[in-house]
Amino acid sequence: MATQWLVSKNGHPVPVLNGISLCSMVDPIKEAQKWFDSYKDILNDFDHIFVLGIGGGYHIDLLLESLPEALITVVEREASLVRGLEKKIIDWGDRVAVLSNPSINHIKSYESFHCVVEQSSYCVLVHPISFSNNPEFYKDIEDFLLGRSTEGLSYISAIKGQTNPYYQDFQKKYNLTGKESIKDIVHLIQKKNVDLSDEDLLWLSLGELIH
Amino acid sequence: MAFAWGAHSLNKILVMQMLRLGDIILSAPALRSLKDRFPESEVHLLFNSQFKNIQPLLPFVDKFIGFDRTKMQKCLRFKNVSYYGAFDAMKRLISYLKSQNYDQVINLTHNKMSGYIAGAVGCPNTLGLSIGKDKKAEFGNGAFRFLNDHGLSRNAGLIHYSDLYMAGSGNISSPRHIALRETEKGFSEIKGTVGHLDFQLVVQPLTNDVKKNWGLSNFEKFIYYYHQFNPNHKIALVGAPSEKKDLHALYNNLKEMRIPVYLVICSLEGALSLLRKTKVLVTGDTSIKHIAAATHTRIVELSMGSSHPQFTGAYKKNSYILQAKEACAPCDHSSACNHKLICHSKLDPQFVARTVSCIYARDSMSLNHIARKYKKHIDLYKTFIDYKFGWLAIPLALDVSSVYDILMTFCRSASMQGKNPHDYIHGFISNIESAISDKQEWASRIVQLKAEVDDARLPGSAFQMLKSVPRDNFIINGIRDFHVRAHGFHDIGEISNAQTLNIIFESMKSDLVVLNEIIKTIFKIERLEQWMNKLSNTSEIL
Repeated sequence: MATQWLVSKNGHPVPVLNGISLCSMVDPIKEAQKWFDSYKDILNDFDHIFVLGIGGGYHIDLLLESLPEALITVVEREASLVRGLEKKIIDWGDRVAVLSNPSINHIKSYESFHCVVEQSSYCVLVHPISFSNNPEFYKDIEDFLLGRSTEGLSYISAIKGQTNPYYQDFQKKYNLTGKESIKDIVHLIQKKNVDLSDEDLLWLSLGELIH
Repeated sequence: MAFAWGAHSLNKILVMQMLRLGDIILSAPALRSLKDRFPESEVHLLFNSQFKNIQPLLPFVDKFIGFDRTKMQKCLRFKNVSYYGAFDAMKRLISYLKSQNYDQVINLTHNKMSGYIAGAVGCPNTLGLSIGKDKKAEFGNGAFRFLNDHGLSRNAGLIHYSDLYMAGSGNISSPRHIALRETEKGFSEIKGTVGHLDFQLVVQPLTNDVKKNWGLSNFEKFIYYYHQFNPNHKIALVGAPSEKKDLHALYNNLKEMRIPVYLVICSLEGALSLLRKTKVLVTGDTSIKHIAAATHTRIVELSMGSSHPQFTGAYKKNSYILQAKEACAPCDHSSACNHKLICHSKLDPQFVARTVSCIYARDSMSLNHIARKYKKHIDLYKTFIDYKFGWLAIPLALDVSSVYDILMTFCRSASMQGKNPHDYIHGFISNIESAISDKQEWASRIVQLKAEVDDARLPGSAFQMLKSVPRDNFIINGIRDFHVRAHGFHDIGEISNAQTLNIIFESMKSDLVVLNEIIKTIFKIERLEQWMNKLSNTSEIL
């Protein structure tokens, strides 16, 4: 699918896919700022940010500018869009990696993702128009990255389990699918009739933080 | 085994206080008592890192360990983040705590989250709530069990949290007061803002809870009236940088009304330095109130909403608390108000300004008069710290229920210290009986004088009588103070008229009624003996 490029009212390039513009035709910078503001409460707490959807790239510009230490991985379904933004991507430099139409297996083999998962210091942000254009693709990736699918949870547990077997045992012990909320996990632990492990106590303490 | 310190010295002690800023400051006396008792030990404090600004003010802590509650909550609540992030952070924290090999852990945080953490740290000598791998909650001693079982319930006696923390930590003889360390940075900050000025009144108008906020317009009126009563007083508004916008609006309004006030936006360190230059602080239930407890400032707390001053008032003697008498007060912390914040509107700004003026002037007789006059609507408490009993807020207009509260507190204090509650109660009764006898004697002398003055036979005799009273008689000294200030007399010698004696007599009569009521109430408590015995048994646990 080819990407068309139009110009917004205030003079910025706007990508259009299937007749849908991927950012504001009026002021894409202002729109990106709004997007950034909706996440600003969490952004400072994480070293690595996954962004699902490259759009016109204006939201990535803002992340780079506002979070000078953060590393960013962008996942984009449309290869033509990535090609269209090639110059911008080069300008972003080493702090941004762009994965064009990756499969889950591709992400699994993505070396730096191992370290990121091991440290658990990442968040996953969604570019809404890109997401609504390809909801299934992005939902699968999002669930995988956050360990909310069986495949994602198994992958995260396996990586973390290399340094601490508890993670692997944890998934097996409670038959977790990844869809469980923290409340569900707490409930499963509380139902347990034998003595708890130290880690079980930690999950219970975390359960108290969401009341 | 909960106590490690019977047998040997301790290398490292971990104190867990993971609640809010005020709770950290209220833990200061317990931290001090530990350092007094184990000067060679390292005392570590596990606290919510959101409040890291308090670190420079807290002496007696060798190491601060931050618990990043906010980040963990984000990991758990935001759909954009894996909750493994929170789990990993918690795991790193526990691994670190375990690696420290603490000889003693003391959990001052009375919530389940901290209980699980204490259980995971797994120190064999733990005091305070700890939930182990067998899912059983342990408390280590009766003080912490009491904190867990009764929390903010009035029914079991009003014990201040600082006293509970001290009793639970095994305090025996450390001074009961909050000691904070003034810093060079705080001193310079305030010097840079207000120079060498001292303030008669500092006002902190904002709290972090809408139900505890009296409102900027009430504070504006209060400052207006206070300025009318005390036109030469220097007044400052104090707040944190996050409160600057609201305080600026109040400051500008006051400026338009030509009321000179200073606006001091400062750090916690700066706040301590400012309060050291302040005579009276008026505030809601704020951390500034607790910081002021480490200074000589007289604190007036306007207690509203979910504030429980009897448990978390400024831990200091000679402070005052104003609280509207409402059936719903204090309300639940997490629920919204369904009563149109009636506890706010009952505190009239002019009334508060008059009361604060009396507190500034140390006019105890007028304060007693105010307390009695408005007792149907408002409680005016004064705080005391007895080095044996601990902290107590006593209503200046005593009534039966407050007497009951006081008795409960005395008994609970006794049992926490392993003493017999009977002795405490009997000591209290004999104090009241002697006050009654004292007042009766003076009342009868005043009756006699009244008759003489009414007959205009002996003008000036009241003055002669008052003059002859020894200086250390608190009742008569109070009366002198009251009349000189409340009625605009310039000299004690002017007290010689029938109207004055009438007021004194009415005041005496009212005191006698209350005191007699106290005695009657004590003897009316049918289950007193049984109740005290139960408390005696509790003391065995301690």
